[in-house]
Amino acid sequence: MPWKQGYTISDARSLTDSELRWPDGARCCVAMTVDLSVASGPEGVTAADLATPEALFGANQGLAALREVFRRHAMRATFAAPAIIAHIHRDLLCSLTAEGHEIAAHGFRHEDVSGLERDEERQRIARTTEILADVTGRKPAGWFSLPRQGDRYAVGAVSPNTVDLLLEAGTCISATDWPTTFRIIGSSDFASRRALLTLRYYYHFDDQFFLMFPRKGTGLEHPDALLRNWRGEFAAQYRRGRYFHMTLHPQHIGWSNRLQMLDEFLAELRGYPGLWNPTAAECARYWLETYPASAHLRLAPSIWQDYPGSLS
Amino acid sequence: MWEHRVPKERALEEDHLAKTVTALERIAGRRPVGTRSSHSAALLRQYGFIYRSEGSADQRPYYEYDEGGGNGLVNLPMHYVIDDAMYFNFNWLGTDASAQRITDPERVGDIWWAAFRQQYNVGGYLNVCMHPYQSGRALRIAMLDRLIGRMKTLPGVWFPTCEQVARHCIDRYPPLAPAE
Repeated sequence: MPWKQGYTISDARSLTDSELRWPDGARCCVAMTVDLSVASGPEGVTAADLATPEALFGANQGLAALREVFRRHAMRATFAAPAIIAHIHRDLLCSLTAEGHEIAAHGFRHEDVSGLERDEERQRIARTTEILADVTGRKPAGWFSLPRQGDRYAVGAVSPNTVDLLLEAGTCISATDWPTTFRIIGSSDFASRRALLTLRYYYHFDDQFFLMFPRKGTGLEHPDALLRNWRGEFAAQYRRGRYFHMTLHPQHIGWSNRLQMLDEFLAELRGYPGLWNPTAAECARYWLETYPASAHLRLAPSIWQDYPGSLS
Repeated sequence: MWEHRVPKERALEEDHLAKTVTALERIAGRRPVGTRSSHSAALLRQYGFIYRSEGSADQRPYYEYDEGGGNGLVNLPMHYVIDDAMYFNFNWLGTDASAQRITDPERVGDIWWAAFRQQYNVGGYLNVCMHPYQSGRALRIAMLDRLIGRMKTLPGVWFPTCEQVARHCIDRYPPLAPAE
């Protein structure tokens, strides 16, 4: 059954709510990702994408307004930047790190790598890492493969080789829509026992799917549903002492009514004691030290079996 | 179902159903008596099934019979309005961006509560369809918790398994054409 294949190749040993500990006795981890890609298709960010009014707003007023809201609520975020964006907005990215935010890799141009040859993908990862290290002064710790509007299947932003190549390149974390904390992709992983820490991402906490989605002009505006998802998820994760994560896009959330909504939500969130607000790399380092894969990841071969008479 | 789809060829269909029954019996220690599938009624009866839960031809449980008027099965209808995947599953069945489900649990909770209230007022029935990877999310579990708690504030609400509903129907309202 192809649509279920690959679902069960690994299993992270779940931590119960009472087993989970955050640094300094914090009650709940709150992490934010800002997506700096403006790609509109599988080829990744193009010159035309960069020149749209929306992209210009995002890179200028939208981002400035978003940073101001973060500053007001003393929140730090991880900015996922395609290498070419880092190259173009060098000073901007440097100033973000100066404010305590983290810059992580978001592909060379946030292109779909699912059809790339292994060597080609390896070179792009190396080039991306090199550019980001040059711009920010430090090697990126994380690799983001956030879904795009145009993706028919969002995990198309990774290839069967991506995890192996990232591990080879020394990346310690990845963030995609892979649903679990530790997750491995690819059939050889059980044999090699290799694993990459994944920071959870979920569509329903990502602004782009609620704000004039799927296409501006014909999409629907559902900020109320987005806010209720954030509130509901945060309340539930805080009560359980776990992890709340949201994804933002300056060109979307930076605009008037939406920015106001974020401002009010963060003010509400700041009213809760005991929040830990790390960048992605800080969170990953803590997790890898406290809950290492060697003790907390129970790998198993896929339970998938072929039977005679299968329709798949 | 063995594979979330039912083969058209009769022999293969039976092969799939037999495998399903064996697999579930091995896990549960007893044979399943209900299905949400389009397996033929005759085969289902032959393998000991008493109900099917599929479609929304009626708001309450009803009997369905095959063309010869036999092989009666209770149908416990379900409606997609009361199915979490319709609201929460991104990329459900390979749908395009324009068809994505972007609803929040509060709104779904309101819809389900309204459906429950209407059926409560007429002494009816509600079949809630949930998927662990959808409704198991922290924010949605919280909604479900509130919804069930709210249902329990009203007197006279029965929370049976599907098998219990089917057996109740068969006992109290026997089929017109009993199984051969």
